[in-house]
Amino acid sequence: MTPAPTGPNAAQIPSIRSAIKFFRVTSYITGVVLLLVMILWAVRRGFGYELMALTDQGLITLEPFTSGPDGEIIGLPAGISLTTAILIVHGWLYVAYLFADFRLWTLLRWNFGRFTLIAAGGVVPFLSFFTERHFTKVAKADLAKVAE
Amino acid sequence: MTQKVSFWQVARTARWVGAFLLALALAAGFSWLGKWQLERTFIPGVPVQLPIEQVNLTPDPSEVFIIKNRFQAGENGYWLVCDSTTETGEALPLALGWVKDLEQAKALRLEIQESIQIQSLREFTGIQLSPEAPERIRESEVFLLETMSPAQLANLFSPNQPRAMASNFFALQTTKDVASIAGQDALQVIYIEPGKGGIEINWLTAFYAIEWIVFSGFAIFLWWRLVRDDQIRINGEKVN
Repeated sequence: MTPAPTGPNAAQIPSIRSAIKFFRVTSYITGVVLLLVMILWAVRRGFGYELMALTDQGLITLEPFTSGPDGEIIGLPAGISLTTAILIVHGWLYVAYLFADFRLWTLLRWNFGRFTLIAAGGVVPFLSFFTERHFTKVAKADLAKVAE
Repeated sequence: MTQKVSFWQVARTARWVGAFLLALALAAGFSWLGKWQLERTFIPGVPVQLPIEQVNLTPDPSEVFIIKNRFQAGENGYWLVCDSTTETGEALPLALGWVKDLEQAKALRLEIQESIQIQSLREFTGIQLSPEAPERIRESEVFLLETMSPAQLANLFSPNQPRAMASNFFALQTTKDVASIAGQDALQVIYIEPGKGGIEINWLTAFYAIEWIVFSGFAIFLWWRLVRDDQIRINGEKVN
């Protein structure tokens, strides 16, 4: 890893601080929601149940379904599928997480490998918790160097 | 002081041209994924076939009207309509069948009206169809109507006496039933195309499609950011 010849300067310290905070928050939220996605996916594909909201069965219920010829889900009551809703929410949280990754990476002039590793954290279960810990430490060390 | 390099001087070097091709390939890949998700977003619904029903009614073919602008198998033609009464005493207009030619329709109309077959309450097979809005009679021949409006027909069939009426009308669906009123082979059975069934939207793939487009733009943006960083490095600029 070759350090960039020109790193961040002192004027950027507040931006870097806020970038670290943003990175940590999005890391945790995306990581937790990703685990939720995994659980609901297992319930859907493993047990054949869909977490549904606002059906005639109740506010939030698990509803059984059957699979059609192309693996499509059929036989669910009318309502909102929370499994699908969480998948959509995770998709956009990942966009925010990727933006946080980019902001930190570009402010601290890190190499491209770090960017892709952090990016992977948002889609590999549990990885974001480790990347968050490790790279927050690295970022804070970099920040201390700038502040000197 | 050394000469500063411009962004495009850095971007034109073999390394960054290669990286640009890679970014383009990534963007293309992401766009393809977006297109794939978009293709899965709009799901055509199952066509809705109207249910065929058996209804007990007493037809009254003593007065027959002709409805214009009835398309069947791509051809413009006419429906012949008479009055009927259901078991519960409601007036239910009865669409007997379709004919292409107006002169033929007129001749058939007279034939049916003048036939002295006695009609009684019995079972007919057909489909219930929604009424159309009434329109003013435009033709000099007052039995020639623009639309299929049960309300208008109720007034025409019974101008002096109010009657309870069904909200729908009934279109016969078997040759046997058609022949029992209009005679053998005179009219074609009315064909109603199955409804389109609407379009279902898969919201998950809809949002994923947008995300892939965002990512594909981001791939190009990252290339720009990396080249810019390299330029900063070469020039020894202060980062801001």
